[in-house]
Amino acid sequence: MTWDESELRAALHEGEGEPLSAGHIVALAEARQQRRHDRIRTAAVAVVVTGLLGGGIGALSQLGGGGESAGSDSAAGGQAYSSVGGDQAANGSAASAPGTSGEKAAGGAAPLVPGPQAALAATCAAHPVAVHWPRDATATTTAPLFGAEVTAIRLCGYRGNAHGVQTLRGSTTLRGTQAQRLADSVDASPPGVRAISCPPPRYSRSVVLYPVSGTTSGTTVLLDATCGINVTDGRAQRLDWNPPSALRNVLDELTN
Amino acid sequence: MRDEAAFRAFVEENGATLLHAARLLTGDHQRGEDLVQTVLTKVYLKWGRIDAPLAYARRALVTAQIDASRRRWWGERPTETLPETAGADGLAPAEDRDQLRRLLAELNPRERVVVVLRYYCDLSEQEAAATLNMPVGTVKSTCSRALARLRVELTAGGAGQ
Repeated sequence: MTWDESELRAALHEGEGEPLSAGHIVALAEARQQRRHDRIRTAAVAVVVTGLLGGGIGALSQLGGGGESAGSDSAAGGQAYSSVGGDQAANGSAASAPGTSGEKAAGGAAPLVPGPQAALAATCAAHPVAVHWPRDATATTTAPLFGAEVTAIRLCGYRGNAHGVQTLRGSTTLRGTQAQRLADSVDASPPGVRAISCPPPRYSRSVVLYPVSGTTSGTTVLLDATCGINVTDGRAQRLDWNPPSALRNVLDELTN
Repeated sequence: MRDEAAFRAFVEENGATLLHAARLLTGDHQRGEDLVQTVLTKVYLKWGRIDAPLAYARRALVTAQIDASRRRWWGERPTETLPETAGADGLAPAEDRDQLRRLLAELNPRERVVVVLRYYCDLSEQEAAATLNMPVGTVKSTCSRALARLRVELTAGGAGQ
């Protein structure tokens, strides 16, 4: 058998002509497009859900991380406290939740806590409370900062960052002779008005003191170590306090 | 917006040709239908964005067929004898036509595609080369080789009969 190209063409064309249903093709295409849209929608939903879950988990872990860092702060405070060898229960509870009720308790120069036990149990604020420095050398600046008999002092130590923002670093409570010694040495320092020409308070340190005398809470005292160690309760003040060596170690631990 | 009426007109005009080309390319009635459905579905989804639908459909047809022939096909096993297939008119195909179709199916995919494009779709060598995205010279040599094989096989088959 021999053939030429025209016969090949004829052979290939034989049997053609079966029509195609355009409607069937269109229906198939629509269904395919619908499936594709469904897949895209499903994928988009999956991405959104995954993102939300991831964000939620991230937020939760951040919360957990924040709790841990707060805990370490507290731990630092607890360590400083225990190294001083004072009270236990009050400081333990205080260190567990810094910056909550303590901010209210330590919210100003005047004592806001109802009694000495509450003062000692108060949680330290995240940042030092505002105690204004007297600007003029009136008679009150020479008045004692502490009462005659100090039975306990709660100390909250702060340290500033490069931007001058001070945050809580540790806390402790001094009792008995230790508290009295601190009060006496501060009050024995020379009174006066703090010099204005202080350098900017970078990496500055301060300690807020909540004294308790017998059954009453004393006035909140701010101990600022920017230019020497100056102390005030908003009315009286002392300059260049030179703490006893044992107390200096405590203050260093609280503000490191 | 997709112009469904224009697509329907396109299928009315070219559907039968594309279906037959698909059957020649696959060598199988059913697989040819599947192939042309797949291709026309693509054409419909891109309708309005393609300038030459028929050329696009032809290219999609041969590309899909060549791709399919490269893939290992686990769904069907080769048999020594081809099953009897009914012609379009429901009657047994003529002997010569049947023999030519069998021989066409024995060509390699690229040769088969070239033969179908040149002698069924009546494309020039340049058009076939553009459709297959290959040089004209390659189309010529492939076509020549395919025809020679067909002649040899057909002659041998005819002599044997």
